[in-house]
Amino acid sequence: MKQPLKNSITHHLNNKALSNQQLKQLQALQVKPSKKTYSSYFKLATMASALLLSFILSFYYIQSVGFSTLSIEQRIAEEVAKNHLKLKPLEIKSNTLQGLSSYFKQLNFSPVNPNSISLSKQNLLGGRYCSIQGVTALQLRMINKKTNKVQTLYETEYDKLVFKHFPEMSKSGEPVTVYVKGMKIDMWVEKDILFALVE
Amino acid sequence: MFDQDTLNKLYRFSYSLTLNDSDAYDLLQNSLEKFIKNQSKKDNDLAFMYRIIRHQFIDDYRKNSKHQTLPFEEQEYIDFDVKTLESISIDADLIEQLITYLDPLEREILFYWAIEGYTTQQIADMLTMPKGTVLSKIHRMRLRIKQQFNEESVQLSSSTEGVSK
Repeated sequence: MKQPLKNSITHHLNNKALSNQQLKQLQALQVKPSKKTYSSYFKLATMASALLLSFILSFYYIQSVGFSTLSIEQRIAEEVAKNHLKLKPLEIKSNTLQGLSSYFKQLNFSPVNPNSISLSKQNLLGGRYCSIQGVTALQLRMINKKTNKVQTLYETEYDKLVFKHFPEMSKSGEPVTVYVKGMKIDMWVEKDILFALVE
Repeated sequence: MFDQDTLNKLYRFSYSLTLNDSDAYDLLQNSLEKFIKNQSKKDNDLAFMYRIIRHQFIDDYRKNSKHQTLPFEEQEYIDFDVKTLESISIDADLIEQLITYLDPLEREILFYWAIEGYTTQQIADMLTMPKGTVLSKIHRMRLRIKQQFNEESVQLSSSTEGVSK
């Protein structure tokens, strides 16, 4: 039986249809994000991760540097007082500065006897390496013969980047004195060395 | 996103080009992937998708000679309207034979005419060719059908045959 061509073509092609599985596959293809979209998401995620990482690193950096409103004198005083209380074991025992100097060879400066303190009058016990505000330092432990108390003298190179604004003794005339936890800490700069004395 | 009916329509279009179920599916799938990559570039999704399928089919044809050869014809301008196809009636059992006999471009024209109901100008736009070329192809296709099939199988009504201006 003859039929109009249009009807025959329509009927013939309408018999052709995708199987359920093929339909599912094609529909799934459309649901999947395009590569372009995926790439955008990936870039965004990378940027967010980088931002988060930099935030975390900044946070830890600020914490490690000790971001605070404390002055440099106060920060040094807090640190040396804390060290002094611990009374860590001495690495070298000697009652002369000469004897101790031979031990401290890894310093960027030579241990010196400050003008304001005569170490010969003190009962020098020994010394050990330490650090002040991240700068390598030494500490000398001694007994004050007048008060019979243990004293710790810290010496480190006067790094102007780290200890900037720290008043030098020669200009102020007197050491900077700060009290921390009942302890008196005298700090001054002499011979390009930063000193801190804790008793 | 294309719904189930549209996907089936696109599949029928792919089939009308390839005349093979699995080739039609592959063609549709490859075209859909291309469409998704370039989705934001076009407003008319269906027309854009038809073009992608067509171009993909031509690309595949160039790579693979298993599809029948696309004839190159010098076209003379004959002002037949696409409606002249409506003058053709065919034995229902012979439709597959007829479709196989036609070349892909002719089948594409038939698809747009029969399934989409496009006018000659719309078909020309889809094929990106002058309207006169499309008319010429319709005329030639009609002649070829007439030559290939006897009068018992195919009837070309004289009432609608002729120039339509």
